[in-house]
Amino acid sequence: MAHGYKIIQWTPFKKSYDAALLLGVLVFISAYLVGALAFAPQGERALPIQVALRALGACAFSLLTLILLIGPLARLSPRFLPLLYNRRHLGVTCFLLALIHGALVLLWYHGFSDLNPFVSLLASNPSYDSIQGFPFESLGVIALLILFVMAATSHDFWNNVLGPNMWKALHMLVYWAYALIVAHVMLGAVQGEKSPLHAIVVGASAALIALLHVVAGWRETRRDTKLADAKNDGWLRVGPPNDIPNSRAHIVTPPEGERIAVFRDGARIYAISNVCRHQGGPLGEGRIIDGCVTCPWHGFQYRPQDGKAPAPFTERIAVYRTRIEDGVVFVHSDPAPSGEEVAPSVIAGAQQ
Amino acid sequence: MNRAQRRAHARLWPILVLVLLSVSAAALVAKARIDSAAIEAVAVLAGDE
Repeated sequence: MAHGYKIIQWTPFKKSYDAALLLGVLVFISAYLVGALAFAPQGERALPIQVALRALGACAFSLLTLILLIGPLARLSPRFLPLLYNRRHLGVTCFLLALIHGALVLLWYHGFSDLNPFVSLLASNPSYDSIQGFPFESLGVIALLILFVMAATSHDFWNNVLGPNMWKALHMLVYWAYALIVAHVMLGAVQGEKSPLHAIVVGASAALIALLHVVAGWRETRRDTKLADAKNDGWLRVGPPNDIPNSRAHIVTPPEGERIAVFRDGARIYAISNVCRHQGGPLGEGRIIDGCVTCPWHGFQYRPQDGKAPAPFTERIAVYRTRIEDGVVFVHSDPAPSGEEVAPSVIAGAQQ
Repeated sequence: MNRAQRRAHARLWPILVLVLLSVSAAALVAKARIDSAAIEAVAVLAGDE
């Protein structure tokens, strides 16, 4: 949260997450090296340095594919939420792998030129007007610059400085970086390969990412168009209180404004904004832990009665009035004045 | 995600899908041309011999 910053606030979960990440990277690169050096047909075997730089590039591409799969998967099923929690560690690792890949390319293919290696990389092939022989390296350079900006601003410090909306808009550049990398591989490595394996893997990865994003986006749009039943006086129908699982929420969509998460904590009913102040996480998909609504994305917490983060944190979200009438919960679509504590509705006859 | 972020995603993805499809198709056409040119060159060389 915004109260003081450390580079990484280590927890046992983060340590095991990063250990699994490191192991995965090592296994991927080792398998690629062994496969390409030991099993390639005679006459098609590349030099070890060429295989190494391709292994690093392939690993960075695979990691970026995984990173982009996590978002829609977590929206489609909460089982994938633990992967989302420390996704930025995957992003920084991906950038470092891509950087080493780029450095090796620069050294091996341009380090022996009379020109400055950077000039040689960007100027040696000017065929920008042709798909055949297109200077695919420049696409990789632009993608690497985007990944650098994202890795450099991945810390919560920058989220706080830029604001969640600007930060998110900046980090949506990752999709363009991915498109550039797909083009970089398709117009580069794939052109020189006899086997169609690279083209199939890259094409299938891009197709899977596009499909999952489109499906998850379609589901979200459908939710936005399925508005809660509204009375003329601004009260929205939520449903019977016991239909809301304990410590969890039902999410309702008002005609205007953000979604509202209606939580049940034992016999008490609270309503808060569904949007976390940190990165816009869906609070209604989280649960109440130690009396606080906990965001499923990164664990930010808010008290359901006034929307304030517990001290010493200072974030605050909107809270809404609720009422129970004839066994049905209603929530008012207008938020309560900022900072005001809203008394919960109590389910009659239920144990608190 | 808030409403604005969901809208941004909904606008971006159709464009990205088109970009990915176009790039992949163009790259595969280019590769097919290179491969067929290589086969023709081999055939010409074999004919010369």
